[in-house]
Amino acid sequence: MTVQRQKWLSAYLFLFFVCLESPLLIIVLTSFSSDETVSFPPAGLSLRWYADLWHQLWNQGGVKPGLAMSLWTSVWLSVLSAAGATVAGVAAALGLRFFSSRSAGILKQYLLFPILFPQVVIGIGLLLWFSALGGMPVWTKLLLGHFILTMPYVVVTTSASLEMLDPALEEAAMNLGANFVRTLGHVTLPMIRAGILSGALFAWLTSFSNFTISFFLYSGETRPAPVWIFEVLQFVIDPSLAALSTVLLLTTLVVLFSANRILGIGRLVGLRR
Amino acid sequence: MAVSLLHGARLNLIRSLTSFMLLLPALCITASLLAACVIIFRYSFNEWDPVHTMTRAVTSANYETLLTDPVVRLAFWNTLRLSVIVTAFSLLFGYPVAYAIVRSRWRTFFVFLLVAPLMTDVLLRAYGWLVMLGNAGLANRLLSLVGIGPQRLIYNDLSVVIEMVHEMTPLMVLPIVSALDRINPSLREAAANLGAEPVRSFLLITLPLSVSGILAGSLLTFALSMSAFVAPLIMGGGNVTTMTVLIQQQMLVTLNWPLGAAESVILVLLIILILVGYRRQVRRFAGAVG
Repeated sequence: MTVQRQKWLSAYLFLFFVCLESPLLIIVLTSFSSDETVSFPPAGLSLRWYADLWHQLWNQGGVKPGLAMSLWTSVWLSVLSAAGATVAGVAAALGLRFFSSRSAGILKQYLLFPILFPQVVIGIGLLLWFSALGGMPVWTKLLLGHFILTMPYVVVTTSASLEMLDPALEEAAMNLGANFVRTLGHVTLPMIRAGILSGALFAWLTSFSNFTISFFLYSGETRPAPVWIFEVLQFVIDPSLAALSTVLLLTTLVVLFSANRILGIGRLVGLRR
Repeated sequence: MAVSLLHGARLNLIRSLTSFMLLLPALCITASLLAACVIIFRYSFNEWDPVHTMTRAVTSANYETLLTDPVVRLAFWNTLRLSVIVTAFSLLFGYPVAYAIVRSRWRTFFVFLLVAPLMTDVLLRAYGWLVMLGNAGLANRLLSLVGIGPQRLIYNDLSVVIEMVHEMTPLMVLPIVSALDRINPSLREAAANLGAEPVRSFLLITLPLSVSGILAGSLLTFALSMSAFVAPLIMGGGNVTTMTVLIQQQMLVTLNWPLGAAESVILVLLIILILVGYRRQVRRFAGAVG
């Protein structure tokens, strides 16, 4: 490739990433605004909207009530759904190995179809189902919705790790007299731990940032943070939302960055190296 | 002989029992989605009127409404139109990015940058675009500088497409990156040694070998665009009605559950139809190439 063409390609790549990250950067910059309303670029810099956010967190009244409760909802919902999805997904990926490659393929397709299923329809389906059942607490709906959403990712990453596992290692353990459970605990699981971890992180991130499914299933105070932001957006757009968004963004980026350090994002999305 | 056969049968039983127990939780989770689908399907045949709301019945009235109502027809058309536009632009913007990433030394870093926005709340991204494209936003300031602003850039088709392309392009890039990554570099070197120009070697070698990535990426993008919800809801501001927005209005605002259920059934069927048809085309294409 000529140097000239290489230069154009690099310039395009730079421009692309500026556009890709700009909405995130704008949120971060807006959160340091000193203006009363949202405008960009801001007229001055301040930390007043972080102070405002802190105030909202401890005072339940005002135009934007319930922030602390919704953050707490987001935390337990994402942690529990990631944990549940990881257990179910890893078990399923291990179970798939007992089948012939043909039936395992069909079973896997069945387990993965929620990924391409419209989230709106998942939401209303569970909404109608639970209203027909009646009397179920809100958290069961939310948790089931998020299990459906996150479990397929764990199956994908764990299966990918299992495919790369050298079967000779497990056979060696078996030949040396280890039973199924012992082989699993001492050989299989430690060898695929990167796949399990990345699946769990993916599940957590997906659940933590999900809006659509929660939107159809929440009620009252059990309202995950994305839904809270949506509801507040209907009444006011002020930089305190940008401050909250920056905090949430930073949380997800820290998790993603550590995932990248531990596992390598490339493997997570299926690159060879 | 008999003993070992018996032993084998018992082992087989244990194996199938173990595999079943391992798969059970995941199968239950997916089955609950199927159960929800069955409920939606059943409700789509119920009757509805504003006074009695929903009553149990078996009627095709809702599906007839879908065929005749101009609002629904417009929503269908909007959904298909936006999905095609978004897929096309994602491919256009995404392919050169994938091409550049594969040749870059900092590919892991770039993939991280690609994945980072995907992992943040879609609402936050939409909010960022609202700020950027709004009346006092950066885009309008730039347009004013050139003398053609301020323009109304939000709450229309344009803002929905911008947000969706932003959301979908990384999903288009990733499969293409992994397809380009699998191409053996010696093929390109051989072409160059035999005197092929870079453009010729791209058109005859790189592009055909990355078609699998293009197909996978556009399939993913199209299916997710069909079911996009947040972009039309927030960036459309009530002016861009897609199927998903219509379903939401039916379910949560007018509370016409049977009609909303019928719309969901049609949306899902449409997506399945497109996915299956697409896969068949891909198979045929793969057969023609291989």
